[in-house]
Amino acid sequence: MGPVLELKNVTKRFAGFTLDRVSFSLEPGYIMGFIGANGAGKTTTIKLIMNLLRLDEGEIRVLGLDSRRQEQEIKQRIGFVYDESYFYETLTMAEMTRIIAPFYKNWDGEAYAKYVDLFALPARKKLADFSKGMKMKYALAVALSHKAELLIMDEPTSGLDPLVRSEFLDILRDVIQDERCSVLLSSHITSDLDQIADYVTMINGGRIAFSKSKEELLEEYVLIRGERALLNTAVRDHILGLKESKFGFEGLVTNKAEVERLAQGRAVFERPNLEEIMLHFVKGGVQ
Amino acid sequence: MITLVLKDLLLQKKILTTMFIYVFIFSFAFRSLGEYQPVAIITGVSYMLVMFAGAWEDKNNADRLWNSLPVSKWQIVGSKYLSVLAYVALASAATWITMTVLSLVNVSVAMGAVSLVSIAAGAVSVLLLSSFYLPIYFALGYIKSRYLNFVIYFAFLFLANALSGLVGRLSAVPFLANAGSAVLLGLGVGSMALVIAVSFVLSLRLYTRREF
Repeated sequence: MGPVLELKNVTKRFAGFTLDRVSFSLEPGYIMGFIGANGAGKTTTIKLIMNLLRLDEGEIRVLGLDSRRQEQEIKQRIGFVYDESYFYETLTMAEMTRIIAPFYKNWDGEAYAKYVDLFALPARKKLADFSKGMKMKYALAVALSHKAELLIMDEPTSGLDPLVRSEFLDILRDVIQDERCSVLLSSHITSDLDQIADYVTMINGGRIAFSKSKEELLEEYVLIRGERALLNTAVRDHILGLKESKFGFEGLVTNKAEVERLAQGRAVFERPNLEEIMLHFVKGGVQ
Repeated sequence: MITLVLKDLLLQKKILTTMFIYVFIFSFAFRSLGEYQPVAIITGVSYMLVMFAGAWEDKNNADRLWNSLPVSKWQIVGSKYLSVLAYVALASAATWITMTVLSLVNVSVAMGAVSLVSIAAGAVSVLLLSSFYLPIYFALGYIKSRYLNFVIYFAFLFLANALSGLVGRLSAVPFLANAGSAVLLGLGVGSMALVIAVSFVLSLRLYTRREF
């Protein structure tokens, strides 16, 4: 079986911003974190995958199908959770579900009831009275109740307090393990992805900076810290996303052994987390 | 598509009371229209429901939801045209109930009866009005199209006036002068269907071009 999601040279031009030849793919059964700063192009990419925006160039295949020509078939087999709720606030959750469910050929009422129960969602309450966390859980329940093979999630945890965010991620991780579906999860909160992502794709200024397995990424990049004087040596040439302060510098290196030799014990090397990698890529202007 | 129409009706439940208030106000406002009073009320209230439905969609940013679900654009567009008929049914029922209640309490405002003819005339008026409005709504969304609403009203009135003049002149055409009522009805329904079909195709093309 091929990738569940494949983008090839996807380009979309706006006045003042271009999503530039974005390419990455996601294999079945994995969670891919899609990271980047605000305005980097995450939502634009997701809107293109969902056909909410028209492609200028490139190709998007979802579950092996063409995203434009086979849109309806794709949407039967994927679920989505966006950064904010797009459900009608004047309706109750039960009314909203009665409207949505008939559109899915594989709607599973029992699964839906199970998730509503699991997430402790009040069916008779108006969606306007739901907290943001409840709205996200409801969106997740809908997304998981039609046997979706791929979940597309755009910043689902933004605006949630840390407790609800952690609960949401726990639910997501458990559910994904049970349901065996793949997930593209965009977030600028990288700590969320530290917990659950198998792969990480980073977009910066409309271009893909990297798309790798999380382990590969954390092995490849090493955080280096040292005194400023060290920057007068060949060490500087090896640093990605250099950040200087009056006390010293910090950056990322890929060839630790070589830099360690050049630094001659005057630098400290640490394993970075995703946030540090993202920060150095963004602040250091690495593309 | 029926589910989308039911959704439109479900969203209107919040303003059912308001609808009766509008019927009450319109029944006084349109008294001078005599026997056409119910037609004007049904048209006015139905068109308001079309507007309200657009406002709900916009408020909830529903286009993003519907275009993410397995719902085709022609279903989204087509349901709005079908919903117009549902609104006519709602407005007609509200008009009949209000008129009946007002006559029972001896408030004399009813200048004409709510008959099948007045409902049909109301339906024709709202469908024509909506055929002008919906392509603009699907191209621009509710907020932007709202500003063009008065243009649509005037365009509609101008066209209705021009058409009534044209119909007067057409009655001099021998074929039409000698045509039976069935033929004239067929021509009327055919013209109406053509206007709606053109409006629908235009709406669909404009909506397909939109990005969310």
